[in-house]
Amino acid sequence: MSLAREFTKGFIRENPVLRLVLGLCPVLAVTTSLKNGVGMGLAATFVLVGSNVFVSLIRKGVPSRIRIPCYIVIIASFVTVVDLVMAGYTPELHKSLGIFIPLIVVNCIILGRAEAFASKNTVGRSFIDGLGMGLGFTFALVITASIREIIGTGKIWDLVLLGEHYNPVLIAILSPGAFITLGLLIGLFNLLEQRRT
Amino acid sequence: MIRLTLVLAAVTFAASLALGFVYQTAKPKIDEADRLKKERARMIALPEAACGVFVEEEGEAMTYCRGYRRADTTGFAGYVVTARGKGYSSTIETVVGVDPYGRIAGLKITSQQETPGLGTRIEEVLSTRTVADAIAEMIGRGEPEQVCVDMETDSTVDCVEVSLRSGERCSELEKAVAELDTARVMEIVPGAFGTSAADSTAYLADPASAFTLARAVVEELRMRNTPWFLAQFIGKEPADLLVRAEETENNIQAITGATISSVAVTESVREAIQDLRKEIGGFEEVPE
Repeated sequence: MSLAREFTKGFIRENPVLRLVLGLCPVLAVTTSLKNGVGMGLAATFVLVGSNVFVSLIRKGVPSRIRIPCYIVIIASFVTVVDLVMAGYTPELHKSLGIFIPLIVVNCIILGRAEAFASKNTVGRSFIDGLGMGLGFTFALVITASIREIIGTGKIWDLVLLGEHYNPVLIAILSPGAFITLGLLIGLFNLLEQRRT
Repeated sequence: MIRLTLVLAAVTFAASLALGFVYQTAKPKIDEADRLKKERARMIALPEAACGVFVEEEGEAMTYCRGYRRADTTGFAGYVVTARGKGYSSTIETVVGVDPYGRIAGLKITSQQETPGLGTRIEEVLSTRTVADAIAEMIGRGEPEQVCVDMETDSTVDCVEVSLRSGERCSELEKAVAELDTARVMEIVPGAFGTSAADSTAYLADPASAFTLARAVVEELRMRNTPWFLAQFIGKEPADLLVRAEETENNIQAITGATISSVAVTESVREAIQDLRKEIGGFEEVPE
């Protein structure tokens, strides 16, 4: 597969959230606002790229029997880096994302890409794969968060979009709204994929 | 087996080194963010000293702050202590402001890891509201009330706290009241003197009582805009703190404070004030 296709596969064709239905916990929990969605997406992208690169770097030196503990140590280290940097430089976003930052450690996408891709490919390809998958994850978060924030508050990124007279549909930013929005988006992406093939 | 151990040890050692470096780099920023958070909580807990200064005191059994109205440590406004109580799933940390007579001046929950959901948003619900009102609004019924949004942090705070955050604005308010500049007062504290300029002018007609009145209005506004859960504590002495159940029209029992354990907050606040009383040797008598 070409590098370009390797990079773009995570956006639509193999989008981790909308096609592979992975890493749904943060998607459902933090997409109440676009800011949260972008913050979580970029944090996960950083961890994905970093862990992919390091897993690929050590793939030949790590015995198969201890590969998973090694991957977990690498992933947890990158998550801790994100946690510390966010706590220091973006405390409000850190507070807003709360427990879901440490929970990136158990995100299926991260360990999944380390095991399924980075452990079998070169550093360069693993980097591209991590970046593409991370941005695809961010893309899914951004779409879900935008829909929920606009319908649920009438605003997007603090900008009033639907005017003062708009009566917000608060269910959109509550838990049921997350399931409804995500379900509709997954259906839409399936439909698009069916038409494409 | 030895190879496996060595490889795993090497990976964890490298990770530890990297994390140590990142921690050293981020620590000053984290400490600064914590300091600002603490400072902000003190200002909310003891608004009388928001424009003045807080002096930390190291007591025998506890650390507390003395708050002063002016930066030169004159005009004693009260004390600030930190209360810690065990909630349902975490330790709830509350910063409590206490006036010189031992009454609660304000409080701010600074740390809690309770179950996320409606209950943890109780701090954002404005006063004069009930849990039932808040839930009705959150699910789309009821009239939404105006909520002031802190421009810096994006969190829900009261108007007066926003208006008086900086010493400069506080001086401006004092100056505007002294000069009977109604428009300026209303600009700094929106809605401070009623809704029309005529109302405000009437309020401020007597220069002698203007500032006293302004303070009363500011206090009233603060109460009106203090989140409901926290407003219940203000002006009370430790013995007045009681947890009660509220019964709604639909016979739904809602415990005050919802997910944030009311018992944890009230008991820890009561204990912290009692400890403070011992530490400072008692509070002043309330003047007749």
